[in-house]
Amino acid sequence: MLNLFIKDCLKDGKRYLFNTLSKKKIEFTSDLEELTKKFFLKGQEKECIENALFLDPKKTNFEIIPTWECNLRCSHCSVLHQLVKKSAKKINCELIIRFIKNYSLAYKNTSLHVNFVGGEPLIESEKCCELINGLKSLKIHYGMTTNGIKDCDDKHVDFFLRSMDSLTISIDGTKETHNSQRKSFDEIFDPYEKTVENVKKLVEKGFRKKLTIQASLKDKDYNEENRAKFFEKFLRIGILKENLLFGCIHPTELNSKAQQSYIKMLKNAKILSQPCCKFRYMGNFLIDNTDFVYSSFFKADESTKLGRLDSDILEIQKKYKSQILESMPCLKDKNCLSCSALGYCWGNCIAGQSFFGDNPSNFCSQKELIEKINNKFSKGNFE
Amino acid sequence: MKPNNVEIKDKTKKESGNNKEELYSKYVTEEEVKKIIDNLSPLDYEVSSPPHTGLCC
Repeated sequence: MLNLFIKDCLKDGKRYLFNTLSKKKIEFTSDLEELTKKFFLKGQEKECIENALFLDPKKTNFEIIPTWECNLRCSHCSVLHQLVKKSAKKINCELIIRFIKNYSLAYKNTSLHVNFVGGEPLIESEKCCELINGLKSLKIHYGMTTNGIKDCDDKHVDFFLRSMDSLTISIDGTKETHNSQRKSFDEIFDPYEKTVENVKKLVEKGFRKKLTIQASLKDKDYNEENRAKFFEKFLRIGILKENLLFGCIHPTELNSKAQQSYIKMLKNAKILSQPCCKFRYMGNFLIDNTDFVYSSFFKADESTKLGRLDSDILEIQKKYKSQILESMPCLKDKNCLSCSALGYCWGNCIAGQSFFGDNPSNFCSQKELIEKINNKFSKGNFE
Repeated sequence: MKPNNVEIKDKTKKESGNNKEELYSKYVTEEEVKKIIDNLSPLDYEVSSPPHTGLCC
């Protein structure tokens, strides 16, 4: 069952039952009507789960792919299979603007985030500007993830500086590690130097505090020496310490300390108040030049297709629900479905699926998690 | 156009030598950089970079 019995944790001295999915608490002596209304009874699990999963999102990300073209071919690219040499069709800004505006009418309290990714988004700078201009009546947080290779003209840089809240540039550690992973596709002699040159230009232009530099390294290169070099390089240029991200690519190639630690982290009891980002209802959209909308950046195919940009939002909602119900590992795992901590775990992060498959309970630390939840409750925190 | 063999430098920056990146001294000092580098915590193997792990949000 999805309920936890709360022991003497409240100042009023009453005993409570707490439902980890609905996040509702109820007096232990409540009648049948009250128990039913708040999904506390056996047989209500499915209804209770769906009710918790399909709440209006607090935040929605629109991942816009201005193009699947890219000037690099990186060994660790998660969308390498999607990249094209030349794209004949451009994104349809008018349709995308209408889609996001319709969405904002349906979800007035949801925070909207538009992130330009790719491919390499700066290849289509003009389209990015067109989209932002078309959405200026809405309050939106804008971001972009780029390899920083392409030179932008001053007009676009100034526009992005005014409109973007964050700009993430991928630089994989040192010159040696970066260039070993990131190969030029477009006659670029030295991808690392070219990107660093553009980072410096952006810093001088005023982007400094909005810039994040992220490094993703193979486990053989993921060490403290490379991290120190990476930090020193970009601190000296003026990037803020908190905006320097240095990470290891998983799964790793070697059976390394990094991999063992990653698995240990997945097994750690961690309170997650909402599902992994992949399963947040109406929370993530990928939009590209096909004029279709998908629910996953990593896998834009028939299994994640939600409909066309001009589809009715009710159809998109229906499709989104069915995709979550069909693909969420914890909903296929009997142990998860009967776990009293489900609403604080949701089967962990989807990144662990390569280890646990459709059985997250194989990678579970239920006892520790329940202990943590009880500690949280004992402080009167029921959120 | 930049003439051959003449290096044009930004007066606001200073060279630190030994192939180090030149310091943008209007944003950060040598001492601040050193302090951050010296105080980096042991490498956290649990931290992974987006977008390759899904630990992106």
